[in-house]
Amino acid sequence: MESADFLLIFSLVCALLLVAPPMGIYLARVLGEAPFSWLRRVAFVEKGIYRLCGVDPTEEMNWKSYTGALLLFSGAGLLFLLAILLLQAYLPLNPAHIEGMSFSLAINTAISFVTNTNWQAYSGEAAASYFTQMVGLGVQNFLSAATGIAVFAALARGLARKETHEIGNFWVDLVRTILYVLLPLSCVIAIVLMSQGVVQNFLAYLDATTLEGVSQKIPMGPAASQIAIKQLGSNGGGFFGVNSAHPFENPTGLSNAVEIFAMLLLPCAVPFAFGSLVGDRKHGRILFGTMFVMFLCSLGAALYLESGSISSLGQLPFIEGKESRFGLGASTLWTVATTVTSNGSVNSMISSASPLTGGIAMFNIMLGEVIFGGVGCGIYGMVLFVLLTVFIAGLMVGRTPEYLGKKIEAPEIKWAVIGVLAPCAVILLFSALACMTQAGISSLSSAGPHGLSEILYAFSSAAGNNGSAFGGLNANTPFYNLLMGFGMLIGRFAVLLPVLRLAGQLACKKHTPPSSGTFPTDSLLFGALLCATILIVGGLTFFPALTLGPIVEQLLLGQGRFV
Amino acid sequence: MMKTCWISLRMLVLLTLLTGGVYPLLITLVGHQLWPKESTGSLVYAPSGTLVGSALLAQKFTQAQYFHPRPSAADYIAVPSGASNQSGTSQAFANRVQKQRQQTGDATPAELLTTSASGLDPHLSVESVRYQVRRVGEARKLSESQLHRLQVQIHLQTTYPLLGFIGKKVVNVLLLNQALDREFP
Repeated sequence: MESADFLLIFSLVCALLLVAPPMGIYLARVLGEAPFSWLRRVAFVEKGIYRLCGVDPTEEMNWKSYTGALLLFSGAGLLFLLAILLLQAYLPLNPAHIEGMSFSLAINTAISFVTNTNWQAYSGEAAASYFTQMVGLGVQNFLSAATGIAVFAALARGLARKETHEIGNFWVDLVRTILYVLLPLSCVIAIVLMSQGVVQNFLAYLDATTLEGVSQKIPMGPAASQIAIKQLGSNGGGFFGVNSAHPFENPTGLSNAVEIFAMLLLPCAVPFAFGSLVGDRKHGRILFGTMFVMFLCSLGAALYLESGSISSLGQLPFIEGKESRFGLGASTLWTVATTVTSNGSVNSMISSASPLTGGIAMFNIMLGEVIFGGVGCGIYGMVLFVLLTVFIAGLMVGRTPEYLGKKIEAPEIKWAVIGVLAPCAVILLFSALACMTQAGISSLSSAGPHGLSEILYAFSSAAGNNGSAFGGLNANTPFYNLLMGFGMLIGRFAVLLPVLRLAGQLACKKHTPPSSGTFPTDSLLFGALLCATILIVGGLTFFPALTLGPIVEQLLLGQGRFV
Repeated sequence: MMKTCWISLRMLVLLTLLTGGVYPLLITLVGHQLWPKESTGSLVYAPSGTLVGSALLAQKFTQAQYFHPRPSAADYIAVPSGASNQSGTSQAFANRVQKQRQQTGDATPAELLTTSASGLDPHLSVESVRYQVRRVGEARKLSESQLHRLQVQIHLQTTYPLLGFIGKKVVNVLLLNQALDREFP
């Protein structure tokens, strides 16, 4: 690790700390009741969309109709994407004559993009036409991210409002997020990326004759527009198979820095938006601070591990699966950033990193994608942990816990626990199933602990809606396509639905003014307790599995043993 | 219920047109105007006009007279791209590294022993390029003064980190090899 690596990390973190809070306030204003005055001047597009769709933007929804709209919209998007994936051979913009996907791959991919996971059991340049990338996958990048933000907004309203059934209008949240946040940011990022050499065209793949006279096919496509949103919306599904390691997807040190910034920007901004929307900005800052401290710990450990070397191979540094133009520092920063933010894009191969770095990446996902987490999803997952924390604190002093002036009672804790435990159950049970069946084992590319890591990582990635791949696992089999698809659905909706139910329940409650028995949620003590709750739940659940995978492998590496 | 269904469908169509139609087409148009070369793959042509490749994609070099890029798990095939995904405890990985060392010497830089993430890494560090200078010089029978000119070419194809810390100091292998053919035919 060189000093330039630390300088890059330091400046990116500083840039985020500067930009995330105002970005959060902006997001809160867009979603809030008093949008900016200039928004009203450009609102004709927004109003046009409402008129054409027959939406009354002033109509408020209760939690049931909000959830209904969200589910129907996600379902429609899923079927539409599925049709495109199956029929892409008959659709336009397919100069490489790519065939339709198999049914199991198509259903896996459709679920993956609708749930904001973007797990890819295919390689974009070989299995997806330009039409599929642009009209199918690219669109879901926007819609699934905006849906996450909408759920977060509904939850914030549930906490901020009192004695009402109304938690906002799903269509308004969706359209505003896309029009005023995701689209403008994507345009800026896409243009910067193109200046660095990210491709954006509709040319057919070219045949080149190399200097040594061999032929090489050069892939093309509308990549920049999709890469911008895949980074911003914590989607992470690469245009090309090797994601942001591909020189056409991430050509320079600058494009790499911009993509890392884009990946962290909205997930870091959302806690501030949350604080603003619930009327307790200090609480928002404490939530961000808790996430930030956990992120720094994870990053520090990963940087330390990656600066080591493989002693049995003559002190070989960990540069297998890393690109020369990024180097160790920027590759490791990416790996940590992509796993804490539920993004899932990669610029180096996690499977080839030091075993414990892979373990840290996995653990970041296993904690429930709440260290920043996905846009919107991260904060609503975090609120579930907050409810557990105030509940535990309430038990300690023997009082009914309160959170932001709302009494937290048995039903709320029940829903919070379901939301916290569902992804954990998917990871452990599905991994166990894969380990016990021939269909699960036969996809492995490594034996021993690394093989277990391949399975464990895949299901963590699905359940956390992260989408990054450990690599090595041959995931395009009916077994993995279907089981992973199921896991992604549970990971998305078994968290999202309890959150919307909670939003509805909390909105109905009276405001209880804080008393001497209220545990303050805007203190450092609260941050520490929250951090402990997350680590205890994650640690107790996953430590045995992690021991058999990455931890054993790290010990083998230290002894210089090969498998 | 029926009403929500209808709204969903219309919303999906409109937002698809906006984010899957207007947005990518607008970006394509902007790219075409502002960065026509960069947005079409940074293509490299021979003096005769035939397409040699992309400055951003490594290609396979096996002849001694050329600089070799990092090894590629996908053998420099770009459709589809791929990585080795091997870990430091993998026997296959250890064998591959040992074999490479036997071929190119014990002092081979780590970069030339390991495959990149994309299998298409177009760059090498200056050290890894210098390690190959002797081989290239001998294969092309370069004189002392020509070797000096070769160093200048390496310098010309080197990209420096922006502001000194964004990115790494790397040499583009394809452009360097093309310069070799031009300077020392």
